[in-house]
Amino acid sequence: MRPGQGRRAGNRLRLPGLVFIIIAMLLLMAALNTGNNLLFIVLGGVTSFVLMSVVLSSWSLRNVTLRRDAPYAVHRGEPFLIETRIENHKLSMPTIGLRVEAAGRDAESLGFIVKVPARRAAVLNIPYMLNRRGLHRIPAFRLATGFPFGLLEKRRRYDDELEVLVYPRIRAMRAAVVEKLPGPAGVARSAAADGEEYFSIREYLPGDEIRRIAWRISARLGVWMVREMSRQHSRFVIFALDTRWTPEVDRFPEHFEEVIEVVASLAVTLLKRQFNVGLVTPTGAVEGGEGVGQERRILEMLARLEPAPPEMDFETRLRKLESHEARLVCVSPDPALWGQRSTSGGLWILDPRETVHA
Amino acid sequence: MRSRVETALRISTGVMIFSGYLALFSVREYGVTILAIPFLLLLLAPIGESLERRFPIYQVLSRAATIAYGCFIPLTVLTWGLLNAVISLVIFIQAYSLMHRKEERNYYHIFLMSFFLLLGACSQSPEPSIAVALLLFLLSAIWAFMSLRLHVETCASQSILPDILPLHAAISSVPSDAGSPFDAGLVASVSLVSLLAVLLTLGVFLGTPRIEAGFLGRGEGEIARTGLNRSVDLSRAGLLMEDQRAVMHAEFPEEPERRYGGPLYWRVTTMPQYYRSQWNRRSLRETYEPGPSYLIGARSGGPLDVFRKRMPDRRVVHQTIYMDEVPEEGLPCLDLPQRVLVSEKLRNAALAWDDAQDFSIVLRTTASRRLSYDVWSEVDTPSPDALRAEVHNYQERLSTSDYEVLTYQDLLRETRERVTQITRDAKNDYDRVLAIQSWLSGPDFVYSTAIPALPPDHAIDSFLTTYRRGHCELFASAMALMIRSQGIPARVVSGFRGGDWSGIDQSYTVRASMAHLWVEVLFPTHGWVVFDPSPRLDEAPTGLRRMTSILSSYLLRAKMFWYQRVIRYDSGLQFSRLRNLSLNLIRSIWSGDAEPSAASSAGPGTVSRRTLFVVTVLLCAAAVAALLWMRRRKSALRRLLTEDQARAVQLYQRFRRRLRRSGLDIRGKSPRELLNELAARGALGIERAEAVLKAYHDARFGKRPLARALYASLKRELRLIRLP
Repeated sequence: MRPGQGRRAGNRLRLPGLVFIIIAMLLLMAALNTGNNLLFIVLGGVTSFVLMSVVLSSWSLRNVTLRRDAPYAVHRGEPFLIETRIENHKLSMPTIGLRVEAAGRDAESLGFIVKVPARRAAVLNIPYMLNRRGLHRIPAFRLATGFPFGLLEKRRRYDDELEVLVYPRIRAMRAAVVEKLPGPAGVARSAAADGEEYFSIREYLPGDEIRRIAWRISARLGVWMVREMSRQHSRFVIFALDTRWTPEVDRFPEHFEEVIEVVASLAVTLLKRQFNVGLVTPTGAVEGGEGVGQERRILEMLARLEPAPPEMDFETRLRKLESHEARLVCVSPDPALWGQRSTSGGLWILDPRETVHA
Repeated sequence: MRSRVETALRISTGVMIFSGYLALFSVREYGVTILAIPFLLLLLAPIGESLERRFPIYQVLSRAATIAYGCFIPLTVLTWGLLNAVISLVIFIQAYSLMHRKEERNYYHIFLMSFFLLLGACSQSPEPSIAVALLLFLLSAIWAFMSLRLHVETCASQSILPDILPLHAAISSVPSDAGSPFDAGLVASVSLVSLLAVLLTLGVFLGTPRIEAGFLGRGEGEIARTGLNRSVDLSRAGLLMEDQRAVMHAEFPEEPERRYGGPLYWRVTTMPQYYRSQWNRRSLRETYEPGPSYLIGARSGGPLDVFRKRMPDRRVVHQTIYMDEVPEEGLPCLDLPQRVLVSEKLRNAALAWDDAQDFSIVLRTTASRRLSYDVWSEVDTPSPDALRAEVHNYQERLSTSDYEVLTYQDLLRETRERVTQITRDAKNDYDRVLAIQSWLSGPDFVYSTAIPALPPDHAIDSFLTTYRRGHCELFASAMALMIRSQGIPARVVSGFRGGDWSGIDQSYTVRASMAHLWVEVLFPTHGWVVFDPSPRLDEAPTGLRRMTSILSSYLLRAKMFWYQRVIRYDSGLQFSRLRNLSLNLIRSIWSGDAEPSAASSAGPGTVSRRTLFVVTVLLCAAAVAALLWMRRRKSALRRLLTEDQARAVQLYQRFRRRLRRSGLDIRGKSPRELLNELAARGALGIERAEAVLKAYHDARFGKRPLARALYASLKRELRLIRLP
């Protein structure tokens, strides 16, 4: 069996087809009853329509394969394209009138191909969007054809177990709020102090303060550039995301998703600013690192995060991290703790509302 | 691409609409003006669409027009008749759909209305030009349906154009040709589909069995027995159904090889009176047959016997006829009957010459009309030269009233002029008659069982000038009236023409579809001479009709056998049978030939023996095959299994059969699963099922014995397993 051959997914008799069959039966009775040969000819025409619909629609889908490809990972709510390649392996006959649709009871049409010539392939880029974080299996696609008359629709289903990992949504964030949090020594640092030391110059990112824009350099390069003023030790950030299930928190799943998006957005923003970013949760951790690879690792972990059992110990792990020279950013899905000190470790917990870009 | 599809859809829809009206045009009643409607509609359609887009009041006005039309529908039915009212409604719906914004549904309405127009034309005996309309409709429908599908799909789908690449090519490596999928390849594919559709249509047309049962009733009238009516109404339109039932069995015992050499016209009765498109029986003063005056009489008080004095120099043909239902109009026989004899004694029945002086013989009875009779007919076939030499002295020979009756016609002046034109080269009456017959049998006229609706006043004029197609009634009537317009007496004769010869019993079978109407022209010296203008060929029925005919023929023979050989079996018949048998035996012994004689070998009895022999051989062969199969099955089981195991297998198979008959799905289920299923359903006798399966397992797989007695008892217990 050729890969991507698919399997039958049932037929659908359309309303015109039903009308044709009823007309054919009535004509048969009338023709037999009257012996009028003209009625027999008309009956022949109507029957030939029905017969050809059955035969040609099956034939149209014969030796047609469907393969599709999608990106490994996408962000939540971000449209992406599924490259759908429909190949007609028949030697001489084209395949006409193919509709691509998602398998399911109320299948919507994803695209229509008028003709795939013999020994040719049609490539269709179908836009798709996933609105939930995690690993998703793209529903199987179906090819349907009503060729030639649209009386009967034959379908073929193609299951290829195509999976797409959906990262959390990335939003523009104010990273300055992270810098305001207490450093490793546990003493609060002012934003002005952070700006005393020149670190680097980089492209402007949403959320950067306007006063840091390097006007002359921007004018010379034609791109907005900002000056990075920071101390070396303040560029190590570890996000401590408490994913433990808290039953008393109202609408926990929503808050859980919200804080994951906050962490993802902050991590991406900081990584773009050459920060060293790490992530720790009750169930796993990503060591600190920099660059695109680190971004992918953090997002992948965040994409697969699930609420942890409430009895898991996270505080001990946090206490160990306190001695680390990195800045520890605690994030909790419990809105009551936002902007407060944690009861156990005395750490400041990030208030996600402050990170929202104005 | 979408615009191309739309153009194809518009063109094909236009052609489809046009073909519907072309079909209507092929019906004479509508004329050429009907063809103006599609052009008008197609011109107004874009205007209507535009008006609907721009002015909302257009919707209101069109709805008001619809309501107004709806109010007029009863009036159209009364004025134009039901069929024309329906056609006008169809045209209105189509026009309405065309002159508004068109979605998929509206297109289907337009297609359906065109189809209804086509059907309307088909039911009204159209001209051959409907063939063009049918072909055009089929081809345009294919294009229209396909274009509509593509149009709807391309409009509904997001506007993504696929890249078309060779197989195994990467998308970036080869430039794609996504621009024009609606190209020559697609056109060629659809053309191929069109060709297939035409072939399939022909196949279905040729292959669909013709039953002609009339099971839903017919508005057109009775099954055609044109020859067996006392009157013929020519203005009656409809479809003439050919009834393939065998109605008469005839033998010629005294003819060579029992086969008659002349034309078979089984005359029943004559109709000399014509008035307002109707032929009727009427008594004439004389028979107008040549020769001396005849003694016409009937004998009663024994076998029914009707006879007359024989005419000299005429050949006598003896016929033995059996009919299951003798027509009331007369006994069918060859022209001219001299004697009819019914050997059987019939109660409350009488046989008599009809009063109409046409030598028709009628059976008057209140009992069954089944009859077996012998007829002796005097057959005369005058030569053309003799007929040409006839002298025109009708008014001297015929009484005034008879001459008036036999020459009455109401043909229009144009038709009479046409007859004069046809016969202008003829020098005598016979040639005139022949000229008229040749013209009617010529290529200008077509035999058809679909009878057009002729006007009641001048039906034959319409037939001769306008329609020129019909069945024997129209042809015979036309010829008779045309002859009468030349002052020559003529009448129509009803009866049967032809017969299916059977070599098996050397007899003719006459079917109901052979009912016929022909013409008799009076020649003073030779009497009534038969002419038949009908161009119809007596084709042998094929397919289902042939089967019906054969079955009906055998049924008639069986009835005849029962009636003649069983019901009428008496000492005379017994004696003749014994005599024939002994004579045959003596002849075969004397000649020393074990084979029966040629005469007897052709008889029906030999055939029966042969059939009996074949059937016996077949039965024996089937019995032997069944025995061998059973033996083989048994031995196959024995080869692999012990006797006990084979018995266990048989028991288990019985068990499965029992469950299957009880409505349980046993496919692919193990014994354990079957038992579970029985338990789940709360079956009665579950413990018996367990015992059966245990015995099966023990014997089949545990090599334990399954005694015959145990097998028999378990087999009995199987019957007690029941599903609720």
